[in-house]
Amino acid sequence: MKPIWYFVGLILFVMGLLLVISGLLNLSSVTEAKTVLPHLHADIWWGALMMIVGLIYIFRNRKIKIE
Amino acid sequence: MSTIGLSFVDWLIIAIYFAFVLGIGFYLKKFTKNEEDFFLAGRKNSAWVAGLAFLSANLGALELLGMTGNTFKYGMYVAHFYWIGAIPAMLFLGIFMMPFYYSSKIKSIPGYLKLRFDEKTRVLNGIAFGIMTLLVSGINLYAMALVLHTFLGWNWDVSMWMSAITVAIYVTMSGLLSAIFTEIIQFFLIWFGLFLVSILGIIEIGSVNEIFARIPESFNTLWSTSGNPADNGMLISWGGIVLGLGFVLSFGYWTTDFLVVQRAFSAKNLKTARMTPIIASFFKMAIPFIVILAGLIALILANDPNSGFHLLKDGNQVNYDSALPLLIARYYPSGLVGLGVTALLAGFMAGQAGNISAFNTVWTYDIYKSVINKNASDTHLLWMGRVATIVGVVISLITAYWAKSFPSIMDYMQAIFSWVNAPLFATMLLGMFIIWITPNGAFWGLVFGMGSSFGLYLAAKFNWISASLITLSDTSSDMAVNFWRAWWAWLICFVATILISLFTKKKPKEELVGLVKGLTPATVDHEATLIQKPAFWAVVSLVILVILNIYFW
Repeated sequence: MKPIWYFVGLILFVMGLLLVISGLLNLSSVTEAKTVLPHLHADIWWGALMMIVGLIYIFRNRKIKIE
Repeated sequence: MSTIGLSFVDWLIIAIYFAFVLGIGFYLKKFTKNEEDFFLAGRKNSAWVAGLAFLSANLGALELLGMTGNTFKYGMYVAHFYWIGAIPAMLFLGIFMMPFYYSSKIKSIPGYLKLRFDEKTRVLNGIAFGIMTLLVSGINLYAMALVLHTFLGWNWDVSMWMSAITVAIYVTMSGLLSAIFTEIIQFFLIWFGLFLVSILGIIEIGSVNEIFARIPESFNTLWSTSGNPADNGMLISWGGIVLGLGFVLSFGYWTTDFLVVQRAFSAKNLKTARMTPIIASFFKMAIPFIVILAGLIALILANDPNSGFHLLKDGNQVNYDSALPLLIARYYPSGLVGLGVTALLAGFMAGQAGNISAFNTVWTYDIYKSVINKNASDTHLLWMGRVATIVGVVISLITAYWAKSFPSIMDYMQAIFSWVNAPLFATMLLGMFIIWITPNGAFWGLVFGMGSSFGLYLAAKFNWISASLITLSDTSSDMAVNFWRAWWAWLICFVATILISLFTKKKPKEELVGLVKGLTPATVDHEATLIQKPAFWAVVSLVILVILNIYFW
């Protein structure tokens, strides 16, 4: 079977991708932010970090199968 | 309070998590072929997999919310739960106790009690653990629905049934294997979902130094105010921290609670099993960077009238558990809110799955096979494990509805751990390290220890005796009473076990080989290089622990 790290990579990548897309949409939105520190756009860089970590896990484990 | 609104992308992230864990359950079912796969994940896990699962089984959402709230209430002293209150016990388990557990090829902690002592001690512990696990599981379910209802406005019944059914499906399909997989996913989701709260809090306040400068001294040190309980936020002396938390509660939980130790049993060999709690200890030490920092940030914001931040109130009572959800609402835009809520949901559900997978093992081996059907085949036991999973989830749901109609049941949770785990640690310690401890000594010691713990809890709760008699101090908090009660329960079990063992029949030495120090070959890693040795990493972990305690003294 595939190792757990492969699935960790998948979920981090998918969720990171959604955060980046959502962050970019928020960036272009004209509605007033309800949170403090909105100018940091944490969703974009945090989502990007999750995507990178996810990709590393997927790439390193893509060919591994454990008994 | 108006609830935290979720956008489409938040719901999508939550839905992906549910689909993912169910998909993992289906995927792993074809690899769950026999009872060892179901109950012990095939005993083939690496130290990293078993280590992160070992930690995550304990890292529930209740703990994250509760400890952030406790930091708001008690200050830095809460870090003791993660440092002295966990690390020495985890290292002791890996270095000294694991060889006895793993080498005897037992499937559960009560299974060790059967080999070392006798059947009645095993059944007593099995029943106590089963009851504790299902109560904790049900109250966990209730607490999850309470949090989701309070902060997100979700329907109670839908929240409880959705998560219970999801857990029932994936644990029934592949047992401990799927529980471990989802626990590791939960570990990553908690770090990615919640650590950002601390980062954004530090950015808003200015720096970590600024955080410590803005909280009172009684809240920002670990030990320097522990000489006099009145000088610190937790109202406890260093004696209570060291004996109650650092020794009895910590060792009682981390070395004997099957919920966490079961993850180490799933390791592929003894060295891997020994490394399991040692690897977990490094990550355990890091968790205060989520919960303690978040609690201190909430405290500073609540004390700053310009911040607009204040905790919820239930009547006149401050709801300390609201600290973390309110910080999420303060800092996270849509999308990230979904990730934060998913991290909490994952924590609740993985905790639920952990309890259910530990329960189905103890029920199947230590009660069903031991008492009801001694000749059950392996195939029948696998079937029974699946039935026990569904029945366990149903009982958890009943407990959750009971807790909903009788909320003070939450108070009794505090008693349950010191009732079962604190005396059991005395029994295990004596059983593993002293040859002449007898089966009757262990059984009656456990009975006295469990009885005294529960008796002391009731005596303090209903004011039959003064709390100062338990804590040996005129000033004490509920937390201090918990620590000291655990210490007395342990001591009573310890002394009773020794005294009764002096006058009762011993087990023949040949039946104790591999179970007791002195009759078991020492575990020496001749072949391993220095960095492959569990003892080396245990020393590194201990050094980091000492540095952290000195730095935050």
